[in-house]
Amino acid sequence: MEEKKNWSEFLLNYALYFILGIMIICVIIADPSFLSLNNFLKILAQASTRGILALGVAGMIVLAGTDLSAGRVLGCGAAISASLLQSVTYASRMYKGITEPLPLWVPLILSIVVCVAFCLVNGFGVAKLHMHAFIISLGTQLIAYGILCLYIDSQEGGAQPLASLDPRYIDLVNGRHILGIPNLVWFFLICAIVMWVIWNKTTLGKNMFAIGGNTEAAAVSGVNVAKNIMLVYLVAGVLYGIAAFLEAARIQSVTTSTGLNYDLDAISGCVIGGVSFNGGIGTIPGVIIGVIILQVINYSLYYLGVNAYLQFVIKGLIIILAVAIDVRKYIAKK
Amino acid sequence: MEEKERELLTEEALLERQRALEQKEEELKKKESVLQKAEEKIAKTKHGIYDRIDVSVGTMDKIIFVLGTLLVIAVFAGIFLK
Repeated sequence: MEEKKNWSEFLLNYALYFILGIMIICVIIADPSFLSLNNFLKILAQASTRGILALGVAGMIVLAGTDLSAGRVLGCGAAISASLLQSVTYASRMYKGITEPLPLWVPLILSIVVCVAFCLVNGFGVAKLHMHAFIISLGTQLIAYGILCLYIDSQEGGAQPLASLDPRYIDLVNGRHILGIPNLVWFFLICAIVMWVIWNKTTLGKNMFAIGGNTEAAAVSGVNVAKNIMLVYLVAGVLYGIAAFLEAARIQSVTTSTGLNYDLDAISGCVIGGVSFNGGIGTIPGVIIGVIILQVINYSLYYLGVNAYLQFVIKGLIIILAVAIDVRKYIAKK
Repeated sequence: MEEKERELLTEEALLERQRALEQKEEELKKKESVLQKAEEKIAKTKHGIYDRIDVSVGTMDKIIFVLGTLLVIAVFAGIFLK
């Protein structure tokens, strides 16, 4: 009886992974060519920028918050990166005054600065004004979208895509210089390692989990709650800026719809990876696995020609199921 | 006479000590009450969104089963019914 109970607990806690595993097996059976190294590298490359975004969003979810503005903020950063790194020989480039290619680090820094600014607004609202993260990020999402549209529309020829990027920029991100793996994946790996160190080996990481687990207890224990929340948002802003810089080169054409729904993918990846919306629980490997699983699902559904509208239904069900399992674990523990 | 004076001094010193101890006791009581209030606040505060959920594990199991079934049906429908 005890053994049966343990088995059923195990099955329920990992139900989502079993279902997704079965789904992927069905995809492989339906089309064996899905299982190729090239496909896997494509999936990893697509998962990389969303993964970096998810690393930032995960910190906010651990704080028992969220960030709905991540996608649009990424769009703003991508627009700045792309506009400053358009090929100098492209006649319809945004900044015709730039006649010499800029150093690649300049747009990267600007992208980070812009994304950090948006995140600090969110952080201020949450830390100092005690607004709910959902509401403040909903507001900044719309503000970021408006600024993105105004920026792209400010071009001489109107709101045209920011394309024809500098070949150095494209090669830096999309090139495969090490072991034949896209450079994008290596950047994701570096960000993941840095975040793992921050989460597990620094005071900020410990305080983040303490605040997410129980804000009152953290405050009574001497943790500066407001300062640590602002720092988490600052780190997220840096990650958004890096993701924006990389994404612009990956897609090679930034428009007003760049970044649309990226935040939902990032949040979904975190939830699938075991980051709890209740706060105080989450791991970096979990976030990485969650993002990759989500990307595998996206890719496999597209690969099999599943109706685009049904894909939304499936993704929504996955997210709700992941949260339901998280709630069940919490109630069972209580 | 000297013994009486010594006795008085000793009594005075004792009274002084008693007053000091009573003062310390008062301070300790205040600190204890502050800590107690903080503990009560921590215990009572619904600090997580899941604290507001009032369903049993059994109900959650049924919900998970239904969601899982819907997901599997949706996936199979998408793959095999085109």
